[in-house]
Amino acid sequence: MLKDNTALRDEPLVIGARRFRSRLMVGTGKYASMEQTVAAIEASGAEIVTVALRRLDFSRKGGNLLDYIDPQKFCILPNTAACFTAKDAINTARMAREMGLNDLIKLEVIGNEKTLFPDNEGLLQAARVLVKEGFTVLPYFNDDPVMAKKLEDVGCAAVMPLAAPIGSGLGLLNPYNVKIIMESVSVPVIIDAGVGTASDAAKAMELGVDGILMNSGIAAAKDPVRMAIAMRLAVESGRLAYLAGRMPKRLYANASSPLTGLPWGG
Amino acid sequence: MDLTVNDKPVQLPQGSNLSELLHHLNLKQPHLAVAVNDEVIPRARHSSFKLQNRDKIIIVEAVGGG
Repeated sequence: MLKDNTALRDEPLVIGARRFRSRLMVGTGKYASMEQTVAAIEASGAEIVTVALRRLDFSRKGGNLLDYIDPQKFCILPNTAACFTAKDAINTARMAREMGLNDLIKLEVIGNEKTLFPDNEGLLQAARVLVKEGFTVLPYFNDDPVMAKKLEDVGCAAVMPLAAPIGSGLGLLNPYNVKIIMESVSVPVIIDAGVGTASDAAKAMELGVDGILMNSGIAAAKDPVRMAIAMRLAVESGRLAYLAGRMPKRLYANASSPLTGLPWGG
Repeated sequence: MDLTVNDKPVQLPQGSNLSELLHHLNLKQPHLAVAVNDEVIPRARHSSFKLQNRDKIIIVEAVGGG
């Protein structure tokens, strides 16, 4: 055990006017039950939890998601998933705000059904309108440094490049672009989508991104609660490794033990 | 008057407002949002927002998503 926790000290993650300790954000989709959703979210240690907006199901017997995920305890981040136009995304965001939770919105404007890649033009247009309306806008977009800068310039509170396509679990496909994004903007860079397992999360955090948002990586695991713990530890360990600063890579060996004073050496 | 709520027919007396509709539907969840004819209606306006015959009302809630 550490004698003191100075080595664990870190700055909070600042998004708009809010400060967070956890750098892992989690979704609530694809779980087998509400109970499993709650167990996985609690195990992840996440403070920010994403939700989608859908038409109220009058036939449902059980409670609403927010009866299980307490908005007093978690910062709820509504998304505009499945919106294919700026207009739909803007209206969904307005609906989200009228739910009476907060002014945060995870902005998605999807350009293609199969890849779920964003429509940059629609995304920027929606971001501009929503920032003007006072939303704290967190846009999901491709790992494109030019787009990252444009999103920052219109007033987004963070930028959220994908690691890989939504729900693909392929891990961080282009760490070099993500590095350039980090150099291009001063708002937090949060990896959103594509993380498949703990090492993917750790590798992304080791690059120095400010946080990771994931859903399928946890919910689609065979044991989501165990994977939620694994992801929490991976995000923490990747962050610590980033703060610690890794050793340089070398092509040849560099002995760890002294090469002088050998017992039988000349 | 005849309304539709999430595509289901609902009847209410003439001159009813949005708050009265939500009450009629017995919706007690605190975190719902409402649009009438595709226009999002702020919570503060629910009780003054008069509904018209054939209005299309959409009510949304938070569901699992990433």
